[in-house]
Amino acid sequence: MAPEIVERLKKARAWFAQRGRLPFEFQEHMWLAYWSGESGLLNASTGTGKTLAAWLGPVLEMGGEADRPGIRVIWITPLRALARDLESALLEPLPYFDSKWRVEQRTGDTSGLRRARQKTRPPHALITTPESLTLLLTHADASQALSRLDALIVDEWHEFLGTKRGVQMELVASRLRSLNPALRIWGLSATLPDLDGAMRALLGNTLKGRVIRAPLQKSYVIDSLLPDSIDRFPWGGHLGLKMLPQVLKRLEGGRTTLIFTNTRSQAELWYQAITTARLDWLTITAIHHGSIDAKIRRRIEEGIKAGSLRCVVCTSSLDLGVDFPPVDQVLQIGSPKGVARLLQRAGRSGHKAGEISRATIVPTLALEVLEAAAARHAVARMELEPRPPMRLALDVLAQHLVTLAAGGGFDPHQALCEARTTHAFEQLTDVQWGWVLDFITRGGTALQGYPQFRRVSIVDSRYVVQSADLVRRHRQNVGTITSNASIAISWLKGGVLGHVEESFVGRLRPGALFIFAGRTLKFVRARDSVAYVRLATGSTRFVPRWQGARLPLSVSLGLELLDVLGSYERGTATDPELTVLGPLLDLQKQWSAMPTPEHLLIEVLENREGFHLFVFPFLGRMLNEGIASLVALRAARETPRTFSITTNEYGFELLCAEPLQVTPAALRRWFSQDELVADLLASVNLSDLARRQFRDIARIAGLVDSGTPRRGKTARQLQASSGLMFDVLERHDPHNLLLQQARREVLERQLDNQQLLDSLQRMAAQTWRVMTPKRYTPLSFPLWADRLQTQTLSTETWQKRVEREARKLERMAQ
Amino acid sequence: MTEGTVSVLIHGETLVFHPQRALLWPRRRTVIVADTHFGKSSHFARHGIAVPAGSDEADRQRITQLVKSADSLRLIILGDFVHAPLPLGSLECDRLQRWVEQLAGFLEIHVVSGNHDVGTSRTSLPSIQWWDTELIDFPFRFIHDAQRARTLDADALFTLSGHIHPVKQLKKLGKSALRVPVFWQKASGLILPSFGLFTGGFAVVPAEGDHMFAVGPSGVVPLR
Repeated sequence: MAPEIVERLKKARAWFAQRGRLPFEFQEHMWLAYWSGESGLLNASTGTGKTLAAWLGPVLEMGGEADRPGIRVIWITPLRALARDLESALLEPLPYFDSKWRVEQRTGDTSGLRRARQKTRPPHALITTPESLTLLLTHADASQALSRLDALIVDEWHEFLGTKRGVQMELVASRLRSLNPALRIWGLSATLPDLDGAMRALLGNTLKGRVIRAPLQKSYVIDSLLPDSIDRFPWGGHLGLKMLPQVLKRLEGGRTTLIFTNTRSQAELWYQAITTARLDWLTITAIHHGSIDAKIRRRIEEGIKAGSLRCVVCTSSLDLGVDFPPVDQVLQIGSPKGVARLLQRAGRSGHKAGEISRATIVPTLALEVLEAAAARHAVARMELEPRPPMRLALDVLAQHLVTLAAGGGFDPHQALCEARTTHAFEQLTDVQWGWVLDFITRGGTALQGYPQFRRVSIVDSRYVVQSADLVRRHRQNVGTITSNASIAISWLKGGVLGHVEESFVGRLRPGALFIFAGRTLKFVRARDSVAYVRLATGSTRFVPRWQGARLPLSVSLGLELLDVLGSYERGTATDPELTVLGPLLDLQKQWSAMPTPEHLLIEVLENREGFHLFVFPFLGRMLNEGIASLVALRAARETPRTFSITTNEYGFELLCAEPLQVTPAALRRWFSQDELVADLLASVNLSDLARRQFRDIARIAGLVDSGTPRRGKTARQLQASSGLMFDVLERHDPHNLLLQQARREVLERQLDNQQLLDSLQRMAAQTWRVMTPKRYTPLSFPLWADRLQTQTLSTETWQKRVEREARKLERMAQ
Repeated sequence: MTEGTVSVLIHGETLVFHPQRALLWPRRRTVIVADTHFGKSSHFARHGIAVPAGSDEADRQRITQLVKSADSLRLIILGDFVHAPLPLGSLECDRLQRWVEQLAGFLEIHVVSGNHDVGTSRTSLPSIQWWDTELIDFPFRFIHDAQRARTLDADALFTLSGHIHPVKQLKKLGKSALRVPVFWQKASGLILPSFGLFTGGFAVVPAEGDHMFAVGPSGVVPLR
């Protein structure tokens, strides 16, 4: 070992010794790898010392030398709320090492003054988000300031993987790497199934790296609140508030509890229920979700940190974020949906090293009791969902190129080489590249010969943005996160509570009551993207429904569910959840059969309503729907008929008027893997799905402005909805590659054809249990109830009918 | 009468909802449209947003065909004729001027100024008769934004207006919702859907007693 390395290591150990311990082995590995010029990925969970592992390398390498100007370390965080805590963590060891380094933040919250000062006197370490870093690149002098960068650290890299934000990060990293070829890039990531792949995505294909694993992993405990009894014929009609008394008891026993829900409307309802039941908790209970105004949210977060709140009902808005040491309990209302997500939520309690993270699942449906057991098994085995990185997102590439053009311009040959070093664009064809260049300079083929179009111009074979106005507009639209919310909810006398979708406000009449941000509000009027409200006294159950994609059950968790069912059938199950569910499962077995990993369950039932085909692949709503439309298409092709399709997380129902010939051979044909893509495309309304998928693409590629409405006439006159844009492009520019991208994203990400293929393969290898029960079974009943809901108009009549049917079936089961 | 139209009787006058998002007043041989937003795509293009041109031309052809097939003597545009002032001498300005002159050869063109028309050079379009706030032709008041109507004679006149771009969200079975442009008839007036193909819509909720007529692919359909 070189003497200066030994010297650095000694210093680091001395700092740790001062705190009464030795560095972890992985921390030393990280420093040594960094000092030998390596890049890579560190796999460690929060609270295990990953920050010091990544930070002390650069700090000790630089020693006390702090005079050379320029930014040396960039630390990327997915959330600007994390920046403040990170800053103090990075500052902490500096005095001991006599480092004169300045550590600063640059996020959307940083003042203009501060940003201007960073320009003339850049800090040595900059904590920032991908968006703010991209913004930095739109300044012409950025290349100069960043050419001396030694290290790019991407914290929580797993959060970026599989998203367009990840692609944006890859492109920015490739840019920084070409500014300084000696740049070292390190990603910090929680556990993922494919860590090597995660590393390659960040480093690109020109940089070799290695994965370092921190052996110290957190311990998790997953349990559930069990209902005293369950309905053997479960349905989604209950609002799931049945468990409220048990939840309240849990809250009493804890210090600070986070209650995670799966949707914002569910959060509103639970908050309402808790504060109605315990008026004395009104001031120490809070609600936190993405539509609530950022200022209010920050106040709540501070409240959690200070320990002044007993309970916060929240959504994924608190999945990530600053440490909340007072949190000692996490409740998950309803299905956890995925293993990684549950781990993340559990991790919000017991955040310190060595502490146990605990999550309690509160089932809102009988079968969710089963999910609790499945989730526990998956967590024990760390069966996490894969996050394949995205490829060829041309919208992100277009945005990145405009960024480069605004920040001093780019040479097309060099930019192409750079893009091709990234994982996302290593397969970029010359045609695609040419199209993107054409798109940003001439607006694509449809605009050729349109002299007024200007965005990026070519000056001396360099691509630049010439107008300051265009640079400004680009800066306002940088980023890949799209927000739905567009109408502000405000008090009459001012003060914004949050944002909801335009369509919700469109349905409100003056005087209408609704629940938002935990309050019952009366709608007064809407003006210029603001809905004015006043506090109402009445009560209502009317909650805005947000259109955010409902997360389907993950395949990993679905397979685990089958596993639990298999263990119940074999009599080897020991989970307490299965004792409660016993009556339901036994009846399922008695009337039909059990789905297991080895057995695909198919139920065929004919009754007054028609002919039903129930299939239970346990693949989550999206994939089940894909398979259902596929089977419907193929069956209808053989004998023309109309199906009504209903899906849930566990299976699907096809209903038709005339009996179907369900023979083993016919089933094999309908579930065949042949011609999958062609049949899939024929079975869905691709144009309709693509139109919706186009929303993000149009925003990122700069076709529509970002969700935040801006003032000023020019801004307003440049607003168009992505749907409108999609229609115009389809009509006048059908070969637009962004339209093709929308279709590809539907196929790959929404319908997930690869996963569908794998699933069909798995199903083909199973034994098929084709049963003919006489009536609805505990598994098919919820599907029947769901279908009924889409057919009957009034909620009341629907509830009555479902309850009656459940009682009838219950009588027969006795 | 053309396929897919719906007629209503208002203040003794027959008005016809045309599936091309236009209103016909047959007795006075008048075609009424709202919110054409000419020059919108080129305005976008000038500001670096790559919208293909083409919808302007399509919109102009739709109007030309409408007035020809209805054998009209008058065209009334209820404001937001242009999306933003067109730069004089620009391609799209030339095209619009030429079309207006051609059309003015065989009918009168009235434009009630809308909020987007502010700043448009009226001298560059000399054949158009411009109305600053409203145009009254008994029993109708033609105005861009009905909310800005002067209250005088309020009950004697029936207001025809645009501005809102009303659409109705139709629930389809399953999850996708369909948005269709609508004619929105209230007791005091009628709001026309936006005419331009490259214009958006605002989802509206009818009040008690209102009527809505959706512009579907096969014609105008009254909504219950």
